[in-house]
Amino acid sequence: MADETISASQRSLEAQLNSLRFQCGVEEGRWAILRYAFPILEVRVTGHDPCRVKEASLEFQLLCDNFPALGPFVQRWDHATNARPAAPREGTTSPGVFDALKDWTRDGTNEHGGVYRAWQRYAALHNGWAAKRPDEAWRRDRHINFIMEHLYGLASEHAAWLARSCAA
Amino acid sequence: MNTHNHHQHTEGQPHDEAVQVEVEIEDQVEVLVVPITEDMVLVEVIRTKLELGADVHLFERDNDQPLHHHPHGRKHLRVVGHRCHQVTLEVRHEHLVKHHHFPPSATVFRALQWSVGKHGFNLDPMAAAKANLILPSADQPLPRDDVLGRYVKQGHCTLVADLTLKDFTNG
Repeated sequence: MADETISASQRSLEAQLNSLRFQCGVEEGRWAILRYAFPILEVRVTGHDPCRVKEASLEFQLLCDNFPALGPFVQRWDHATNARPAAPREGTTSPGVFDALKDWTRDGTNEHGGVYRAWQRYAALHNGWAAKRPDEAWRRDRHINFIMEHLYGLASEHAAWLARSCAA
Repeated sequence: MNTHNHHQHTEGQPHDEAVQVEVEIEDQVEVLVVPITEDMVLVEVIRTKLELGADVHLFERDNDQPLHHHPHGRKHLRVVGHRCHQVTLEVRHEHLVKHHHFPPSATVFRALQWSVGKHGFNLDPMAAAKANLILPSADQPLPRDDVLGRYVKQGHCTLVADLTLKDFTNG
C-alpha cells in the first residue's frame, strides 16, 4: 500500500539503493547508510590509501528530491550532531579534499553550496563546471553509485594524504 | 545489461538465498542470480552460465586476486572477466614513462592513486589534486570508476595513458 503513495523520485532512489551495485559497496565496507528519510540520505563513506594501510571515513548528507532528474545536493555532514561540520583547515587533508569540502555559497545566495565538485547539484552550476566536465556531471541516466564512487574517491584521497603524512 | 535468472528477480528486490553477480566483460555487463548452496562453486557457475572459456580470468572488481570462491556472507558481487591476467599500465608524464601491473579489474581511480603516489610520479599534493589519466588524443579524462580492462585493446594486455594536470575543473 505504501508503494502507491510514494513518489516516482522516491521509487527510483530506493530501487537504486537496493540495487546490486549499491549493495555491493555496502558489503565491501565502502559506504553505509546512517539515516534515510526520503528525500534525505545520510551516509558514511570509507576510503583507503593505495597500499590499504590507512583508511578514512567521511559522512555526507544527500538531498535527493526530484531524483534522478535533478542530481543530489551533497554536503558534508556529522551524523552524531546532525549538523554540517566546519570545513577542514588547510593542511589537515589533501588540497583536493580541502577544495571539495570548502565553505562556499551558491550563486546569488548565502546558502552553503555543498561539495565543490562538478557532480554536485550546485557546484555543477558554478562557473559552468558541468559543461567543462561532462564526464563528471550528473545526468538523469546516472546511478546513485556515480555519486557514491566520487565520495569514496574523496575519502580515499583523504586516507592517502593521512598515510603520506604519517610516513613523512 | 542482460540478466540471467535462476529465480524471478527484479532490481530492488533482493533474493535472500542467492548471490547477485554482475559480470563485466569488456563493454558487456551481465547479471546472474545464483542460489547459494553448500556445493555451489561460484566461479564455475559464472563460467557455465556465460559460456566462458578457460582463457577468461575472473576477478572481483577492484580486487587484486582472481575470484575463486564465493566470499563469505556476500550477497552482491561485481566481477570483471578479462582475457588478460594482468594489465601493464604505461603512464606517460613530462617525457617520463612509468609502468605498473594491475589486474584488469583495478579501477582508473586506483591507477591514478598509484600514478601520483610515491611509486609513480610522486607528485606534490597540490599537483596530485589536479591529476587525471587520459587516453592519448582523448579530450576527456578516463572515468575514475571504470575498470582498466575496459580500455585494453583487443589482442593487447598493455594500456597507455597520459597523466595530465590540465585543470578541467574550477572554472
